[in-house]
Amino acid sequence: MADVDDSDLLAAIARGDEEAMRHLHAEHASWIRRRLLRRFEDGELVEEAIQDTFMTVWHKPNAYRGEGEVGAWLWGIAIRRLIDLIRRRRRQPSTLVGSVRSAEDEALVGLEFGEFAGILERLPQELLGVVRATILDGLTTREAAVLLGIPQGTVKTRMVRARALLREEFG
Amino acid sequence: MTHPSRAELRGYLTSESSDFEADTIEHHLVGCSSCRVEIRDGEWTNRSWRQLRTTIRTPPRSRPERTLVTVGIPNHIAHLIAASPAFRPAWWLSVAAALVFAGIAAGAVTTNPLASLPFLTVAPVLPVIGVALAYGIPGDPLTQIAAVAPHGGFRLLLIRGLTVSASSIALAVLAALFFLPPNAAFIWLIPSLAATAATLALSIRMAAPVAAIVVVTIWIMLLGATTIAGTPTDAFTIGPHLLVLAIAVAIVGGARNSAPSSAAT
Repeated sequence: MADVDDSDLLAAIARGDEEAMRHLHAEHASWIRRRLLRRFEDGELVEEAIQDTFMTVWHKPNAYRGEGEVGAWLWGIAIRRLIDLIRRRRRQPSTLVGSVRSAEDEALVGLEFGEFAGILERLPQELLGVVRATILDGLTTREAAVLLGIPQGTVKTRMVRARALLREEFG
Repeated sequence: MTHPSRAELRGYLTSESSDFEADTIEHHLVGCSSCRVEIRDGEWTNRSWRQLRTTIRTPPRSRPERTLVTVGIPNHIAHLIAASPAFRPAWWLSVAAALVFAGIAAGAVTTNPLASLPFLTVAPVLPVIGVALAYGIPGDPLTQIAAVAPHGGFRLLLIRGLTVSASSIALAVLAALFFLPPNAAFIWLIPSLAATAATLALSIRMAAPVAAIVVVTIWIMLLGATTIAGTPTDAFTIGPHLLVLAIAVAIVGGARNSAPSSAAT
């Protein structure tokens, strides 16, 4: 399966090819599920998010613009589907806000990943969760707040502290 | 980038790796197919795929069904209504044809006081036929489904029957406005509603098509008798009373013998 390109699979899915859908699901569903479970422990909600994610792909495979890894694109859909489900469960209205990733954050992600993760390791635990949600998973403050179950204001103050610490590490 | 070792991947799956290791592995998995294969849970993947495949293969909702759901009708009931004959072009065509022929027959002899009789005979009967069609046509897949549905045959019949009746009555109103003199345009409406209710009630005791035949027969005999007596319009005042009586009989009988009718037998 490794010899089949993910973007070829998406092109086939756009033609309604169920077999291509099976391949894409087999390739990605398992690791995405693991990664979601590491962020949110409710297995039932994670299963639902996975189903929703691949249904979205089945109906709109063309939403992938060919930029970056298909895996990263799928992850972006999956984590947002999960957050939507968490929100619905808590009966909070969903509002779209722009990403909080600043240019500074982009520079961080642009680093060799090992180096970046090494710096993260030195952050206090409660800051790490916020940094992981916003910088690594690319979530907005609001989405991170839903995922972590803390108020938005807390996400923001923790991000300010985390950025200050990260700046020291860089400097 | 170097691949994580098998031991590291296993540690990730069992949540034994450090945050640092786990973050690194997750970052790596986004772009590495061979490591994704390494951590794949085959059994879970199969189960997840079978569920997904079922959803993919489920046909999308029809437009009437989507409209009904947006209006706020629960999913399962919207599905039932959308599957009723009221949403089949053939049903609309036959109702329209019956009304037009009856209307033409009535219009052809305008001077005669009995002029409207063909129309007035047909209009009340159409929704009754609709009810019979709504439930109990051999070969209609929904008949078979209804026969085994836990929903209760009568509630199902009521939902579908009312949908079909409403559609034919709506058409009959239009036709009546077009063909009949204004003072006679709606005298069929009460017998029509009574006949529909009687058919639905009788369906507790017998298969819907049989109930429809019983009601139509009563209606035609009554019209025949009043026409012979020279006062055909009496049928429109006596008719509802007779049919309400039929409903009462059906309900009293139905209470004693509460087994729902089965069209499948």
